[in-house]
Order: sequence, then structure tokens, then C-alpha cells
Amino acid sequence: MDAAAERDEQCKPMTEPGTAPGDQFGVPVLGRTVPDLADLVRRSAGGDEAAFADLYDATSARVYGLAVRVTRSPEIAAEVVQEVYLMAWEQSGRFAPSRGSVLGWLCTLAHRRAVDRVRQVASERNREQTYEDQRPTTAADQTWEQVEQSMAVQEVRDGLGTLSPLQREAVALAYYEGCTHQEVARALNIPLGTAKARIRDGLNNLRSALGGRR
Amino acid sequence: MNNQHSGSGLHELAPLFAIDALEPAERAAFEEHLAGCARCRSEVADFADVSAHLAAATEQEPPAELRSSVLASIHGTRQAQVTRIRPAAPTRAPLHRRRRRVLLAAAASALLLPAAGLAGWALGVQSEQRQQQAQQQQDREDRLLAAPDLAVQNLEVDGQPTTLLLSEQEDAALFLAGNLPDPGADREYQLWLLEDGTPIPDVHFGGGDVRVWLNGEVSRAGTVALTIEPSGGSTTPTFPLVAAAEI
Repeated sequence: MDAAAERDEQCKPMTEPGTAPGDQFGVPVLGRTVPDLADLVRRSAGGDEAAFADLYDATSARVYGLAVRVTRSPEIAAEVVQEVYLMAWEQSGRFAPSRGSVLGWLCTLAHRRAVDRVRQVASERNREQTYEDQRPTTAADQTWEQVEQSMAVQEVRDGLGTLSPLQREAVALAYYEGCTHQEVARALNIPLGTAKARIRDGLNNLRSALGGRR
Repeated sequence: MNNQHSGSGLHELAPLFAIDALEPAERAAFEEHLAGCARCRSEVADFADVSAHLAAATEQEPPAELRSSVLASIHGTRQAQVTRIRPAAPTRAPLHRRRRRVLLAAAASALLLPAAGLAGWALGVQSEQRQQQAQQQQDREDRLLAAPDLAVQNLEVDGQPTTLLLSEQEDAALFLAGNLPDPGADREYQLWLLEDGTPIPDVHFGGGDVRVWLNGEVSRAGTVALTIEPSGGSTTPTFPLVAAAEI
């Protein structure tokens, strides 16, 4: 099997959408019962390193993949993952399941760290480069294509399919490229308010689509 | 956006904040707003689920060595819950406090901490200079943990597990222990690097929570050993060895 085929194999959803017990996002753990992530966090808070290792195993593909996508660097992504899980370990006692899902918590931490790293690098580079050379380096349609191609998870396709093409483009730039709304506006050559509205409306639609499945 | 700071405009920023799409100044303003707005906190939590959903599209197995370095870094790292109850131990390294400050800030923005707790903590924040030193420590530690040849060596001291993280490539080693037994009055622990059988004295320290870097040339050493010495350390090791490990 060549590397690309192997990746395709890895990326296949392990469970049919909606059938994973306990977590509507379907944690991809092959041949095992989907673990109760909130319980693993609770046990981690008590110092249980084995439970934390299970939490890592059940969630790291999502956290690492996101960090790679945003930073485009396996090295920086590895550092982001390191930071995210150290935070998760230290703060596990403060995690309240009533206030959100474990995956939401981890992905939010990872996205924030990854975006901050990218912006830090970009601002260092900007001191030497002209304005035109600034991020985003990829054209918007290209971003969306890349994401779509790598999108083996039908569920996410379905969710993004509920957005208008314009919303989808703006959300993809903001989320997967880590662009601010100003950068999105610049990349798409649209007014600031329009960029803001497209991202916001797109995310609101996604939230409704997700909420409808629960 | 002329009502941006009156409340309703800020509410609308919740989805953008949740996926880090705000400009820095807006992000700061929204974080301030968030502390006093339950509605936005609940919104942001909702959008965290949207984030997890979008991230499902880019899943990728991390390299196996990342797992070991993540698990090595949490081993012996105290959790916030515990450290907030106990008074600060005199042996705690600045690194620990700096990291905790960063983590507390990050966690607060992820809505895991009430703003009041964070503000109370901020009163104890150390000087800029010490923060810088701590940051250097942190960077050094991050480099070690990211080293491709990172090795994790477990040493048992009086039944207590301790960990030595080392990388030949980085020529660095970090010794970690939680709750190391008191070495006795006027006594300290000392680490030694054995080069061709010759013990080279290295760092010395007391009991409790330990997080110390070795000074010596780790890449040239074949064995690391731990002894108990008179306070201030020795130039030749006092036997018996407390623990030893091949590098």
C-alpha cells in the first residue's frame, strides 16, 4: 500500500455517523468501545496517568491533524499537541462536562495555540516583507479544495454542505487557515462587515445543523 | 459597529471568537466581556463543538514519539487543583509558576476558570525579569521534549518513581521527581555522570518536588547515578548509590 492509500485508509470513519455511543462526533477508535471522554478527564484530574493516556489515544489524531492543517508544519504541530495535552492534564480538574464536550475543549485549545503560532511567525516575517507577501498565501478556493479533498469524514462534508458556497469559503479560510476576519476580507476582496457576517452566519448554520442531529 | 462596546455588538462576536477569527484588540475586548456575560460563555461553548466537528475533517495520526513525550511531560507535573490548595513550596522552580500562569490564562479563555480566580492569581504574578527567565527555561524544556531522540529513564528512589529525560542530540537532561524523600539534615541529593567509569559531579538538590537540569555533557556519559551527599555537593560520590541507570 502506498503512503497516500494508507492515509486514505486511516482517515476512513470508523463508525457510521450517529452510531457512536456517547459522542455525536464519533471518536475514531478502531475495534474498541468508544471511551467516555468526560470520564477519562475526570480520572485524569485524580492523577490517573493511564486514563490520560487513553484520553490521548482517543483524541490525539483530531488535535494533531488540526494543528498540522493550521500550522502546515508537523514540527510546530507536535509542539502544539504537547502544549495542549499538558494544559489538559493540569486543568483537567476544572473541566465541567456540563459546559461542553471534551473534544470541543481540546480542539479549541489546539486551534488557539496553532493560530497563535502561525500569527507569531507571520508577524516576525512581516518586518522583513512587503504587505503583499502576507498571509494568506493560499487562494481561498484552493484552501477549500484542499480541505475538501482531505475530507474523508462524510459527516463534516454534510455539515459544511448546509452552508452557502460563500459562507463555506469564509469559514474554511478562518478555521483551517487560521485567518482573522480582516484577512478573510482581504483574501476574498470583500468588505470587512461582509467577511464577518459570512463567517458568523456559516458557523451559526453549522451549529444548527449539529444541534439538529442530537 | 458603533454599538460594539455596548453589549449587543459584542454578543455577535462569539462565533468569531470561538474560532480565533477576531483581530487582537477585538479578542481582548471580547475576553473582557466574556467574564461578565453568561450568554456569550454558553455560546462560545456551543461553538467549541462546531470546532471539534470541523477538526474531524483533518484527522491525522500523530507520530508515535509524540505520545511518549506528552506522557513524559505530564508525569510528575502537578495539577492545578492540587497546587491551588497548597501554599507555594519553596523548592518550586519559576518554570512551574510561569507555565501555570500561561495555562491558567489559556484555560480561563476556554471558560474553565471564573475570571475572579484568575484575577486573584494575577496578584501573585512575578516580575518581568523572572518571567523571562522562566520563559527561557520553558523554551529549553520544549526543545528537549521535542528532540527526536528523547529518552525516558525511570529511576526508583526509596520506592518513589523519578524520571530522567535526556537527549544526546540536544546534549541535555532533565531530572524530574515528585515528593522525593528528605535526604536528611545537612544532606542533599547529587547526580553524577559517569564518563568511561569516572564520576563527574553534577547538580545537587534537596527533597520534595524536583525539576533540575544536568550541567554535564550528557552525550558523553554512559551512566547516570544519584547519591546523597553533604549539603553543597561533593567532588567524589558517597556510596551506596541511591539509584543508577545506563544512558
